[in-house]
Amino acid sequence: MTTPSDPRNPLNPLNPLDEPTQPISSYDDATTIQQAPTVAAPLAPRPRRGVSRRAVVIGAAGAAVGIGALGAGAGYALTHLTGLSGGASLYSSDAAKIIHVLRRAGFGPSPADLETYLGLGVSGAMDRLLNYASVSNDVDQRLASLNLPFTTRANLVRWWLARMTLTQRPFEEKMTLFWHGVLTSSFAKIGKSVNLPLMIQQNNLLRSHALGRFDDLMLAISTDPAMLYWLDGRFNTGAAPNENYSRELMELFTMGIGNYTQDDVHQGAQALSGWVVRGDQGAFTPRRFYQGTITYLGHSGHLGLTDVISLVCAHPATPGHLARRMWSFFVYDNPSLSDLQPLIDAYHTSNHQISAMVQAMFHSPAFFSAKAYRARVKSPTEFVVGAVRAVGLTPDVPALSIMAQASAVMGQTVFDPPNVAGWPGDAVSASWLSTQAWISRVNFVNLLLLGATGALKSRQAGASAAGAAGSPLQQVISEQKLGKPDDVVDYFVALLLDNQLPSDRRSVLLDALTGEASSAEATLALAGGAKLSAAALRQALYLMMSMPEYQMN
Amino acid sequence: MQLTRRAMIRDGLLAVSAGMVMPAVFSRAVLAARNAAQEGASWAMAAQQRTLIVVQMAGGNDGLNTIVPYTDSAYYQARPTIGVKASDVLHLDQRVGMHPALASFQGLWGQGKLAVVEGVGYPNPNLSHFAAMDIWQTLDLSGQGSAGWLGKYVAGLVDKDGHPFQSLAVGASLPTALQALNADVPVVGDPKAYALQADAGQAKSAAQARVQALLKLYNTYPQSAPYAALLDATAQSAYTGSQQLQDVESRYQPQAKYPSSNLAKGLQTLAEAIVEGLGLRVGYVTLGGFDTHAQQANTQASLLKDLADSLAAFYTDLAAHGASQQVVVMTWSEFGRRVEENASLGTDHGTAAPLFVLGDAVRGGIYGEPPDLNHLDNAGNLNFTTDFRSIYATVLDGWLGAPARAILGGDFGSQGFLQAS
Repeated sequence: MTTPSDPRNPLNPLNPLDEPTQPISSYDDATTIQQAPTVAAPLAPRPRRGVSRRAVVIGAAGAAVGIGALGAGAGYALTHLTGLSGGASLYSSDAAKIIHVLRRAGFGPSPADLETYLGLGVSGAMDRLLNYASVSNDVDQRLASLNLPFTTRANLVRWWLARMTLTQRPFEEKMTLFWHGVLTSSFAKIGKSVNLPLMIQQNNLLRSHALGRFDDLMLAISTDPAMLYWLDGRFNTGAAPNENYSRELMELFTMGIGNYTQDDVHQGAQALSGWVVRGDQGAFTPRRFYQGTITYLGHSGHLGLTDVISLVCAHPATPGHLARRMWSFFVYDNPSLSDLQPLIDAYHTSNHQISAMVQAMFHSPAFFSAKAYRARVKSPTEFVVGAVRAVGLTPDVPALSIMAQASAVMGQTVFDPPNVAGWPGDAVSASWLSTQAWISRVNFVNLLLLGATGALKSRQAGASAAGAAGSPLQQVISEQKLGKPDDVVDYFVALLLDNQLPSDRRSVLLDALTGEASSAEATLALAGGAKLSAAALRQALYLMMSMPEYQMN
Repeated sequence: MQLTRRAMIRDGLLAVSAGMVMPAVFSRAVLAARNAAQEGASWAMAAQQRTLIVVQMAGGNDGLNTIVPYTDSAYYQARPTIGVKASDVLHLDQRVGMHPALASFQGLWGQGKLAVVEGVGYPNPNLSHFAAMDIWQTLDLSGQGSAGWLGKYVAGLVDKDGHPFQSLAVGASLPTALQALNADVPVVGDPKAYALQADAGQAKSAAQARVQALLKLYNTYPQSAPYAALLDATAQSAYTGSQQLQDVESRYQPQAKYPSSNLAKGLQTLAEAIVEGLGLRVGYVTLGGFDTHAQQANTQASLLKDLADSLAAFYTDLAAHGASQQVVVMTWSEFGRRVEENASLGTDHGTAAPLFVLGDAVRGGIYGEPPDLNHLDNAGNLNFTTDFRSIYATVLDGWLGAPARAILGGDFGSQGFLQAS
């Protein structure tokens, strides 16, 4: 029986603490990990099932020890990646860690990302991702060239999907997506289409406050026009309170259910009364405000918005609730209290800085544990954005439309959450996995690969080969100097699957690449002049991006 | 290739015993499934040809403006502006009537095929959408429930292999009511999109070979990996189901004019599964948007109209296909709304509310007890009169021939809205 504690299990690669005498399962407890050394000693051999073909080639088969075995010392790296000082080779355990971080703190690597981030090493890559304020970003210019006016719901969705795909600050978008799932709003309740820009305004608010002080974010979102529409704050008056925002502020945004009474909901609504939408701003109207004394969460007085926000942000249950949302979104479902404690501590010691919680989470040993590896089902947005980035495609408006439609069938349309709690998959990622979602995923991969090998364009143009020659995947093959089918499989197994694949599964992919070559189809040029059937490449990549490993983040 | 229930249980247990990441919802479901398996608690198809359709009205439907107590002055006192005028109400009897937007229900009511159950709720009501939805779906009154009541029913069905559509949820994701690790319920958004596309110009045999290679990669994915069993079951069920659905997709011709709403499209998908003989036992569809804190009149009216128009078309379609005798429909919502209207021309979260049951097998009429508008709880909400579990028990026992007590975990009585069969 293969279990996670089985050292032969090939799916245990990301634990940096490989140590042959200790079963991996003991690392599932983060407290154990914290006591263990954080720098891996020279890796001792331990048996591993699923030794990759590459390992056999370099003569390390007998001593392969998880992803560390194939590291820089093993002497293999893609030509263009050698000589990067302090960097990680594409087939090293560090590369697998970096790609793991890129998936969680972003949307997975593009071929160009590999160059950028592998060169920085694990901690350098993490720093660049998390501390994105210092990374220059030309995404606004690139978005401008797409010309997506905020006059239709479809353009809003396209705009954000494009932003996530094109940004040089993936974590900025990932954090914004996280907050959009927590402090959610929908264009379905924004009224006339002239109000649609309010959704973008809220999106920018979430982006600019994403790593700031939680109190500031909550204060800003509480009077954000789109939120005043979504949770009816604009109707909330002192004379007859509307409880919608008051309830969700406590249940969903801060402390969670079980920490307040119906009376707190009601009196909280009175304290939050008086706000309306005026133009594109939230505005306070004193005559709509409750004038009496309010008792809220055990505090009495003439309480208003700022008092309520201070009280909910200082409530002892708030950091735990927030940490659970964060961990479930970024690391794995169903975290333990000990997983969350460092985030809770960070909230307190930093005076409620979100960035401190984020740092604690990504630097937690549990983040690189076997338990975290391929542990969350990718969300539809992670899936479509990640897949487009991975094949090096720069989406135009038709491609963005396909991304939006596919994501919708998979269960997620950004700016249109199913209800006030956002998407259930953000909390329990298994919710993203339905039969319809699965079919939509593999069909999206099918269509994407046709686009990325120029097959769509060439069919429209009626020219069979011209499309393939100028296609994004041809460009990847040329830039990476991939000369043999083996090289192609190796490169994409590294890019898409962190080079973490047992040999029997890898051989299925190689068979797909070499077995189906159709002479009638458009061909791609390998480095050195050999030809590769575009259909065969699609066959192999279809399997890679449709297989279970790729569904997981 | 088929994943058997036994394999699912074994697989699930393996994952749980290994301490992998596994939300409580799944680990508890695994244990429940094991217990059920040990007790031999599976039910033969006593009710071979019967189908239950569940329509969730998500967001908390305002029951008082759905089934209106138009003779009760306390109602108009609490609802001076948004109360439905007595002259607009579609009278059901001398005491209550339907919201005018439910006009399409009048035909079914007249034929004695529509039942209204009043005052449906449970003790210590929860005013959170999500805790209340969990209570209704998992029956755990603490709001910490795991497996859904319909999931438990589906998990107990025998002879599931090769019949992916014994249960079917319409939409993008699986509702909690149908969740249970070994229930394996397919979700269909659009039947036309429920097909695996081939590569450009790919022959059918090559496309088949590609799918088979892919399914093998699912079947051989290490079982200890997070969600391995779920991934495998999902892929296998999607493939088998897509084959079956595409087979019948060209055959099915709706015999009613459905509205263009998502609810109507969903019901049409369920009708297709029923009349084409895919063996549907439980179908599920959700209509959202009932959380009417503000300016509720138009919102609720259009939702209720959608509900009644879509269900009337669904019934007509089934009847024209000679299938209406085998289908019972029930609705539910996580709570009703506050008796007193708020200043936003809306209503805040409430408690007990009426629900609908309809079909040829239904004995039309009004069931349950009307809640008393003059004796509200501390928050100004209705005290429930009818336990929602008694309705579940009625459809499980009396319609699906399943052991309600085993599924619900207790005896909650029953209601009289089904014809004696």
